[in-house]
Parts: sequence; C-alpha cells; structure tokens
Amino acid sequence: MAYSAARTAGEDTLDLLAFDDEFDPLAVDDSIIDQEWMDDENPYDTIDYPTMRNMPETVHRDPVYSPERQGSARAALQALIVRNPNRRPVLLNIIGLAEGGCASSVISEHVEEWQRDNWSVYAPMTLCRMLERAGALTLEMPETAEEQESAEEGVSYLEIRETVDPVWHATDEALQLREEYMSGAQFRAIVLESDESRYAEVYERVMDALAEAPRKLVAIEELTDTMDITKSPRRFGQHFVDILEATDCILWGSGAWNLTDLGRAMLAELKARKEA
Amino acid sequence: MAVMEDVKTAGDVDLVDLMNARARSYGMLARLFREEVDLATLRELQGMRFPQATGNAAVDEGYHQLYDYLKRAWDDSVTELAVDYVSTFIGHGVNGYSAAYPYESVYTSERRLLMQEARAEVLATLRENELKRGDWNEAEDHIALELEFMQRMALRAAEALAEDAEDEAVAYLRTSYDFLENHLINWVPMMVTDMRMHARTLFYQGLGQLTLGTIQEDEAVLRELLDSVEA
Repeated sequence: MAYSAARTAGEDTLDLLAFDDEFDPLAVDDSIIDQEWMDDENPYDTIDYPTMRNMPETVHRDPVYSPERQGSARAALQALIVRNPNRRPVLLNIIGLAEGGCASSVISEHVEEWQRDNWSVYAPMTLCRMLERAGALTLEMPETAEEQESAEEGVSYLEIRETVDPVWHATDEALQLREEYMSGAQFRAIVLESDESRYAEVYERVMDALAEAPRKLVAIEELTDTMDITKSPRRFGQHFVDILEATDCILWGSGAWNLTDLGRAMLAELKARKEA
Repeated sequence: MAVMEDVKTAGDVDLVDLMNARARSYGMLARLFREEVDLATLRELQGMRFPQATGNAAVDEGYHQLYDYLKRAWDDSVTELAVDYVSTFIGHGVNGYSAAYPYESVYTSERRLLMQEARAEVLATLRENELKRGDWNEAEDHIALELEFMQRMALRAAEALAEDAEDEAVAYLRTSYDFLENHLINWVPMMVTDMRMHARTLFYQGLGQLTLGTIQEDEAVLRELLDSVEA
C-alpha cells in the first residue's frame, strides 16, 4: 500500500481514507497495457484511445499559410493578410519594423501599443511566428551567455545577468508586398477606379473631417447622411468606414477613427484627381 | 516553552527567517503549478539566483534545469510554456494516463479519478485550519492548493514565532508535517515521474524535480525541528 495512514494529529479525518490494500499505484504502467488484453476483469480497463504522446508525429499538421503550401512566400503572406483582415495593419507594421532587423522586445512593445485599441488573442511573438511560417520574417537567435556564478556566505549560485533578445528580420518578399499595400493600390482600385468612384465626394468629405480630428461613427454618419448620393440607393456611414479601413486609410484608436498617413496621401490624390 | 527558545535559534538559524523562506519556496511552487507562466512571472524567475549545491540531488537538478531553460527564455517562451503546461498537466486523452494530472485523487484512487477521498481529506484539513477556497474553482487536492496550504502554515508559524507564541508555532509545524507526510510526500513523487514523461521543456522537467526535492528537504527539516521540541 502506497499510503501510510497518519498516527498523529488529524487522525480522525485521515480515518476517512480506506484504500484497498491490493492497490499499488506504482504498478500501473500504461506503456505495457495492451488494448487486446483489456477485459472486464482488468482493474485498469480505462483506456479507450491511444495515448497522444505516442502519436505526436502522426497528428502533426503543416501550417496553412506557408510557402510550401501556398506556393511562395508572397502567396503565403498575401493569404495570411487576407484571412486576417483585422490583423493586417499590425502584420504590415511588424514587417516594416523588422526591415533591417528589430529586437523582439521592441516589436512586442510596439505591437502591444498597436493592439491596445484593437485587441487580439495573438501575442506579439505569436504574430511574428505566423509571419515567420509565411516566409515574411526570419529569426536570428543571439549566442547564449556562459553560465554566470556568484557566491554569498559560502553558497554558490547561478545567475542570469543577461537575457536573450532575438532579432527578427523582414524578408525581401515581405517588404515588397508591404510596399504594395502601403502605396495605396487598394484605395485606387476600389475608390478611384471602380463603380465606387461615384461616391468620391463622400469619401473626400469623410476623409477631410477625419484629417481635422478623429471622429466616431455617429459623427461620420451625420456627415454622410446629409449628402443626396447616399440616399438612393441608401448608403450608411458604416459602408464608407468599412472601405476606408479595408484600404488602410483609417484606423481605430483611442475611441475614434483616425486618418492614417496613407489616408492623408490618398486624400491629396483624391483632390488632385477631382481638380484634373 | 523553554525548549522552543533553543529551537528558535537552533543551529544558528533564525526560525522566523527559515519559516519565511519555506513560505516563499512553497509560494513560488504553488504559483507555477496554479497556472501558466506569464511574461511578468518569467522575468521575475529570470531575476532569481539558483543555488548550485544544496545537498539534495532533486533540488539541484531542478534548479539547473530551470536555469538552463530560463537563460534562453524570451518573450516567445511564454507561449511555449503555456503549450507545455497543457501537455504536462491537462493532456489530450481521456484514459487517465495522458498527462501528469496535478490532483492527489488521481494518484491515490484505484481508477485514477478526480474528487475522491484525497479531495475530501484536503477539504477537511482546510476547514480545520479555517482556510476558505476563495476564487479557487477546482478540486482542493490540486497540487497548487496543497503547496499553498504549506505556504500558509509556514507563514503562520513565522508569525507565531515572531510573537513568541511557541506552542502555536509548534502546532503549525506539526500540522505542516502531517500534511506533508499524509498528502504531498505520498503522491507528488508519482506525479513528478509522470511530469518527466509528459513535459517537453526543461522548465517543467525542472519544476517537477525542484518540487520533489523541496518537499523531501522540508520533511527532513520539519522532522528535525519537531524531534528537537519533543525530545
């Protein structure tokens, strides 16, 4: 019997325990239990499935957004961005930050800030790992410092005097794709060169307002609802917010929509086209 | 109690300091078993000093494994440790052998079930010592709660010693020793064996060894203290 009953204080409570003398937990070894051997008389007949630890390789799944599966790093990154629209600005910003190399701690700090108003279940390093699997980032692990010893009152200790801070590097494919996203190609394609261009005046007014100051949806709708073109067919302010957000021209932060640098550049282009 | 006066500074060791040190050790272990390591905890652990030769092989191995892991740990290690926490203590199977289940009942019941006699036993001990479960919503025989119980008893003993309430202090030491003997020492070695099998990181391998060594050492310390009082 593995359990030895206490014979001192607390005896009354310990008397509640009534283990079978025949039971020895150390005798249980699932590695030698054979499913075929199972029968009703087997006291350890509790195994219904093979243990997971014996099959990690067979259940291993390759990442979805990887160059191997998508064909190239560019395609993998593109798919990752398209399938995670809410994370797009952060993913693109991480790539920009990692141009030429950036320490993990710096990336973490920035991503925490970027995600403050756009909460995500993904930790900063999880996002970096996703980008790494897509072929957008590479990780440079620094050398680990030698063991550091110290002694005090005759006792020697091991200490960690310097923690590692790996460096992430953006790949050329990732930087190229980011450049395309940040050049406003999406905005031009959707707002300037499609049927949506008939709302150019609405976009201009919304972006002008946001250039003055960040605004909430209610304020934007008050603006768009006064324009005739939004009355039939009915277009709510949310429609324009969605398009501007999808083209990275506006970003939610501090409780309101903000015009991004790209948004300012696109507003200028919008005005230039109108005058031309 | 005259004998306690001798015990209080026995072997040139200040017992209040010793009790507080025991409480810190148990508190740290309880925290690491209670939930996954977060970044703040990781940084705190990296700031620790790890004794090299304590005289207990399990403690030394545990500290060395933790050190080896922590010196290479960075932000991403939080995720790695969270994954390993699940692999080690929760597992993927339903057969009762897919993880190092952190519950005493699993290791002391015939069919490895939760909420068995051990849980009733621990619950009774908590009540006897006027401890409530607070926001704890799992079985009371979880290793984190058992370690925290030891922490509380050590803190109470330190407080009693500081106030020269020797009888009270001895009672807390006796309660701690009984709990250690009847619970932790009885099943933690088996759980640590399972941790060796299921933990993939040196961190949880080391935590298992450190816990095992700590309770072994604490049992010896408490026995020595109680023997000196009762002699």
